[in-house]
Amino acid sequence: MARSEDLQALRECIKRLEGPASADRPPSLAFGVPAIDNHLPDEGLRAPGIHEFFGDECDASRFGLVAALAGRWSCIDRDGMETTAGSRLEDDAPVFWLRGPAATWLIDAQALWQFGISPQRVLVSQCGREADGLWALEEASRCSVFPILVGEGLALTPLQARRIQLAAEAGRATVLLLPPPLSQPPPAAATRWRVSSLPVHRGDASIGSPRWLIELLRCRGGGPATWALEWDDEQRRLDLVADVAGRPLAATPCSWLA
Amino acid sequence: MPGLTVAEAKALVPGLIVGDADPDGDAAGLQSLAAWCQRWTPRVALDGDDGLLLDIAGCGHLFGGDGALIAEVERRLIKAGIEVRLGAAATPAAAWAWTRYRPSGAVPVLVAAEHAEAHLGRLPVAGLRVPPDLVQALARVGLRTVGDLQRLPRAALARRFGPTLIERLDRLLGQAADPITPSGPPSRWAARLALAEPISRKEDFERAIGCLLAELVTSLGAGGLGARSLVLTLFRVDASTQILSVGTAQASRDARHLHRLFAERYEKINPGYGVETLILEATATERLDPAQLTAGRGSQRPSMAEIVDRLRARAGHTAALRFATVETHVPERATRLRASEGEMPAAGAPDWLESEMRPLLLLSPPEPIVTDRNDASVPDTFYWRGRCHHVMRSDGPERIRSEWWRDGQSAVRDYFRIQDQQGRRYWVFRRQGTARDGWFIHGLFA
Repeated sequence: MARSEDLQALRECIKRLEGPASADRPPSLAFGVPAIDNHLPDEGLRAPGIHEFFGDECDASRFGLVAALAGRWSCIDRDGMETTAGSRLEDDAPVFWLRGPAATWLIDAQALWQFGISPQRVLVSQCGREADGLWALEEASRCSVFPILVGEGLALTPLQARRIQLAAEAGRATVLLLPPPLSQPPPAAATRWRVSSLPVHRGDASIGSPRWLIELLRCRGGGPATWALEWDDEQRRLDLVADVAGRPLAATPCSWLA
Repeated sequence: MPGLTVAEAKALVPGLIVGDADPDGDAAGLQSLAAWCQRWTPRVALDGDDGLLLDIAGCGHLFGGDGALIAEVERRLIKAGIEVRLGAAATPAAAWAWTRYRPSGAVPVLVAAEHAEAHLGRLPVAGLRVPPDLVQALARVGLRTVGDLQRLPRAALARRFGPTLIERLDRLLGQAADPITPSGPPSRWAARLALAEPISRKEDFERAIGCLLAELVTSLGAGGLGARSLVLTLFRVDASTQILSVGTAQASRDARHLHRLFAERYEKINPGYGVETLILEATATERLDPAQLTAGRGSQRPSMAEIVDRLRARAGHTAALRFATVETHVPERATRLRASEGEMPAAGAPDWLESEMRPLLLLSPPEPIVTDRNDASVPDTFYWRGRCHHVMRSDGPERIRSEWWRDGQSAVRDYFRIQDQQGRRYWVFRRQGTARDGWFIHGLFA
């Protein structure tokens, strides 16, 4: 008994040393899937902070996961939406989406709505130069207007990542990064994920709902893990998938991601 | 003397330097000089192709009197290396005539009214800007100066020489209106700062812009307006100007916010040898009620409009865009990005929604794929970007026709949602009805 109390006191001490005081820390961005949220040290993605999502170039699954997470944060109240306590910061919060010079695809506004983001509440910033994009992301995270930001197509050096993290903490914002596929990741992110698609095994030939294999590669305060998720379109939430048979081979082996 | 050839001119003057005439360059130089002369008065007009008319009514008090202003103008122009003949009078026509035709030794400034008529009376008739043949006709009759014309009855002159002569005479003496058209409309909301020493450091520009903004914001507040567009003109010592402009998405009277917008432009300032006058104008203004201003300032929270303005000031208009859904079935036209203006609407469904699912990422333009079959059904394998994909599952077809009223042709696309062996989901279509039919990939589902 005393030992668990000591452990709890040690955990509190480490938490205080690691970041700002947890009393005024805003609620974290939860997945809505208890298995994942319990594994993560903050019951969700730490907010404020930066989180990276890697994936292949011709794979849109990480975009889907980021859109689903951002939709959970900024969605209006819907019936049947399961949320952990305090996972929604405020209704109708705007989203900032930065498209760096390496962002080549177009984003469809209607698909954003399918993931729960109102497209008219998104401010999109397309910067031709990487320096302008980094400046825009930093200023947008510092100004406390956007609780969630998406940075796409930016390759960050450790110094730039540290600056964005400080700006996010100053503005109490969460930054979800979608780096270019073959970029070197900086060590400043709170969590690092790799997202890939999973095939669907069903009776009929329809392609079904999106299924993703998400691997938590690195987590500050926790260990790596793997989950298979499915996105439910009607209820707009993420569910854990029971069977993980049919895991795909990695298309491009990246040893440094492990 | 016009009409001489180069050889004759060189024979007359042995050491003559000959250069090519550059009328465009001269005109441009005159324009920039006119812009530079706006540091003294906003009403500057071009006069022919080698002169400037400055209306200094009401500007003299800033410089210690009209006489001091004129002396200052002459001194600065000579210091900038421009050869100038200066003349000042009560009307534009009189000023023109006095500058060009005054007797040598006369004082250039002719503003006092009592002696003005006497001096003007001694000017030759050519000072009235009448055609040369009329000057010759008057000379034949013995009328050589303006004073001679004044002594004759007006009706007789008009009958003999035409009405323009009388009109020019009236303009000279100030009895008829003689409007000048300044090169740009004067701005009502402007603040001006003249410095004793020219500045070139960034910190000095910061303070100068801060002073100008404070003054402009006060006057805008008194008028109940907010600025939408600001233009800062820097007047350098070498008779050139630089213009910086800044725009906002919503009318603003917040000096701190506007100063931050200019802060993004500091590296674009080229001070040259120094900047000695700055003029800040609000070229576009809108009504801004005081209630809105205090609501924003009271809560101390930065607003969306401020970050949009700052993004635009630094990185151009593509730095702040919003989605706009267009009412069309063609997928690549359904979503557009437009500049963010005004408030963001409340959250909710977009205006235009298709009933079918759409992929999150779209490829524009769609890329062709190589399939094993070229008929209407879904292929089993396709090649795209150098990789082979086996189709495991598919949904569809969804038929989308092109907009014949826009494209002029009626092509048909049959869309399929397909999933390959790795679980990735693609949006492909088969196009018919155009010159290049076949299978294409249009997007990726998440």
